[in-house]
Amino acid sequence: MPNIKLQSSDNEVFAVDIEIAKCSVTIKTMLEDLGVDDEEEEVVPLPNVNSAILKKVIQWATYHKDDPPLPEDDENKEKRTDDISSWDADFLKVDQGTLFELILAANYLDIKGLLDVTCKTVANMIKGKTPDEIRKTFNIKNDFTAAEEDQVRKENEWCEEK
Amino acid sequence: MPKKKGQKKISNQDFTINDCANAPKPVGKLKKSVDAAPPVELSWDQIQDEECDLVEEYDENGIKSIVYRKKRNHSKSEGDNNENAGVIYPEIVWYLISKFIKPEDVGRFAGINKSTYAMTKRESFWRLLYQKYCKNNPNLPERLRLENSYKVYGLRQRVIRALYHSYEVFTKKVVNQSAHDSKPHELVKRCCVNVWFTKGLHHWLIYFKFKKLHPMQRLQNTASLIEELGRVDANPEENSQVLQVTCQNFYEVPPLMGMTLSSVSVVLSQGFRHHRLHLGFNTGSHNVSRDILPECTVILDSVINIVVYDWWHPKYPYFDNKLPSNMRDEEALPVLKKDFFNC
Repeated sequence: MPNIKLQSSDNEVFAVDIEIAKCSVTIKTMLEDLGVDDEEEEVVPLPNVNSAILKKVIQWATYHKDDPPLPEDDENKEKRTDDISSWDADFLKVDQGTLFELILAANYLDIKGLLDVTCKTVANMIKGKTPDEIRKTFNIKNDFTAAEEDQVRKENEWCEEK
Repeated sequence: MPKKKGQKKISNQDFTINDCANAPKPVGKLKKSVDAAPPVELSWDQIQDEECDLVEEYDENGIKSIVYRKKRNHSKSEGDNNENAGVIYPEIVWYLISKFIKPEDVGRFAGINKSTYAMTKRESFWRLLYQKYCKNNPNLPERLRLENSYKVYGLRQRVIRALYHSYEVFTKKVVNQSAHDSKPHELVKRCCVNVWFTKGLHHWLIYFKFKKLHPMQRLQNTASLIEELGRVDANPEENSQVLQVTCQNFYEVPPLMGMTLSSVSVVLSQGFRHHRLHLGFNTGSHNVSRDILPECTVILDSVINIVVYDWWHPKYPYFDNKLPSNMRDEEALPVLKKDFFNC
């Protein structure tokens, strides 16, 4: 099978089946625009993805390589967040930093399936938690003052569970 | 050197109740080191007000004197909670996640940090929520339909109200909300901005609109008209609630606009079939206290029902409200159709 070499931001090179790499629209477009043949073993630099994350992305893409193409996204339709496969759920049992980096990588590489499932995972983890609990879960810096926090809470009384 | 008689006593007197109350840690036993350093008395020009406290002291003869004493340093205890560490993720991450946030999670999402809060102020965020959960819903009143509306002003408020007509989680919440859930006592200290009546077939509905006033609110409204018209989060009804009282008879209510609700009490009326509602009003929010008698009292007898509506509730009286069929009260035919709110 023809391979392509993907180079991470920390200069690690991964040899990947070209069809698997093409699940990234960014890479696919790059190869098409550059007119790279399947036989050539080009090195594609990915300066926004480090080796640890790229490894995870390749792992995800390899598992999903035979998935049917996703239907044309209707962003305006209600998106389910409870349809994550068990493999994906296990795959995303990672620390919060990795999860957010996977979102960034999926966005940069334009891998819709991975982007959807990572965002859904975060959205599900937000459910039922207070903002403080969410910040603790994801180790997020609280940049609100106490007064601002109070104002945000008051503004959003409309969706509070009473 | 012989120890002076009474020296220890003097030292103990240096320890005041202030020292105990302001101590960063609980004070058990007075340490000797506290005794060692007598306070340094400074001249008036050397003293800075913010650094010193007035402290009562007694000398060995029991004579009271008031001296300036340097304030204890609280900076340590205040600075100790410097646990505000954490990661700041790029805004794009929050933007991508915001597309998957359900309406009931908007509050917790907005409360995470300033980036997520900013996401909930975007026009695209609210339009997407509308498209997902409200579009083409037959229960939506005409005024809340945004399919062909490009108006940005107050978009957030309109989408929230639309969600309460069409999004199942919210409509169920409204249907399940019983009259007992209403807490008219929570309206105390709010300013009455309007009162009006409607007549049903067998009863009268009396409405009191209250608003929570913030003293600084007026000063902040300095934005230009153009800026104001572009405000997605504009909501003239913010902090407003309407008290709806259903009575068997008509009761005339004196002019209350501008007065502050100071007391609410609900008791059984004569015959024990209905309730009697007492509403006490005072001028100005500073006159609200249990010890101050209301300047004006409204007593509504034969009260059948008392409900408080928030601005997002489908029954909150906006102009041309159309209620979902499962919540429509056919008996309540409005007498006054004038729109008092959307001026």
